[in-house]
Amino acid sequence: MAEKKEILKLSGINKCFGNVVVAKDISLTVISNQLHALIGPNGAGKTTLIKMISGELKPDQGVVMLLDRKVNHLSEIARVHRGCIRSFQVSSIIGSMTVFENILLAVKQKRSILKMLFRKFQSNSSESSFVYQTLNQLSLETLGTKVASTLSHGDKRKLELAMALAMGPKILLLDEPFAGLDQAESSKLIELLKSIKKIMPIFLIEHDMQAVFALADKISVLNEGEIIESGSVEKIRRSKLVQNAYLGGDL
Amino acid sequence: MSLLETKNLSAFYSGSIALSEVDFLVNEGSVIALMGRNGMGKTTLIHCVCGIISEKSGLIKFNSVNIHDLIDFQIAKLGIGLVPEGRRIFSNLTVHENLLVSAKEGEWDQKKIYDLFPRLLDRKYQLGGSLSGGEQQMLSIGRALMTNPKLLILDEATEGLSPLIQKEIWNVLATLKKSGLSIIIVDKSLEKLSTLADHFYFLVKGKIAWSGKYDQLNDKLIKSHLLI
Repeated sequence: MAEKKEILKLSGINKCFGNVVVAKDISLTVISNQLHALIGPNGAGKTTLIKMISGELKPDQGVVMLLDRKVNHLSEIARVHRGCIRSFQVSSIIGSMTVFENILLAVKQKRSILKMLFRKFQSNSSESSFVYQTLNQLSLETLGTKVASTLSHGDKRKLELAMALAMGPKILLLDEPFAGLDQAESSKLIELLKSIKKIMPIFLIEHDMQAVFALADKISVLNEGEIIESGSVEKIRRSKLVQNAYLGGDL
Repeated sequence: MSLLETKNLSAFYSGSIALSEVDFLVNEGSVIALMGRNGMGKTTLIHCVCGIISEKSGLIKFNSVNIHDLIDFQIAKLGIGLVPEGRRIFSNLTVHENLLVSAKEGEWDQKKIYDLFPRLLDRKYQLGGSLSGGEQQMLSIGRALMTNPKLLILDEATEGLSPLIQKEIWNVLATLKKSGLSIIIVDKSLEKLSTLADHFYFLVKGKIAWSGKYDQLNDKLIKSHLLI
């Protein structure tokens, strides 16, 4: 059995916006081949935490470790280059470009911005084959030439995931990828994430509990900036604390 | 008695058909569930009724008035309150101001909204943009109720909300139903709608593929219209 490696480790993360505490002594670890889900009420601080992991925000206190190295001082771009790739709650695709071009843009992210600006936007053969490989991986191969804005909501979500995968992640941070999907699209995305988590760890923020329970190896529950419970799906389902703060007794 | 009725309603985006010959009926005091997969025309139908889409044909009658050629604010004044997908609250206005901008005299006033959503009272002077998603949805419902509508329409009533907040929204909708308000709800939860809705419409590719009561539904219909 492959050795379990700590890919992401948060220790004692604290963050305030003025007088409001949005993260209170948060510690958690995401290990290889694990999907770690973070759930919690709206406004609990989930997206703020993902922003501190990706480097968009800096914690007031605490340590963010990525692959055994402290990354607190690193910018968002530098963390992307280290394989910490994030998808957004609100779609981040470029609607006027084709599916192929959107993925190509993600493939090219490792180039410097200047090179991107002053060179013609086209792919070399290795980049093209990588884009096609990614399209196949996500069953988007028939949509390569389609303009992204014309895709269905489910396919846009898949494209975002394809762009994240094309950036060569060591860990995927997914912020509500199931939002707005219908049941059929959700079922397909669950199957897709099941196959992706076999090859890379995923840190997932999600309200769709059907998806969370189907996918998570570990769940942490955030409430008012604090982790109130952490553990297996069964433990979280049974927790009275989680029932009261989040699930509401229906699940 | 019929409150809203569409006959042969079709809608177009740059000439392409998005909605095709839809007959849709809301009786006074009833709750209607409008369901279907993404991209099937649910929001288009709602936007036609609310006057947001002008490229349309057919009849739309609300409270015995032909509203086909009216525009959005005229329709809102006649008594249709919309809680749009994505909430669309005014993020630079406070909760109090968000409720004031749509206020029209009638049964619903700020006090009643705060009784319905006590959380909003705690946030009264907070900017809309600083609220959590759940609170924004409550504010969006509150803002629509402040127009004192005869018909309330919720597009994706519980989308993106945590289970506990979803439960709160469903409880509020049950309360509104008891008060006699007519409501159209777009949501993905058939289970929650089963106890609330008097009538269901399933849209597939811009057409009404099925309509009826919950107890007339079967697995085959659900699978073919909502899951595949």
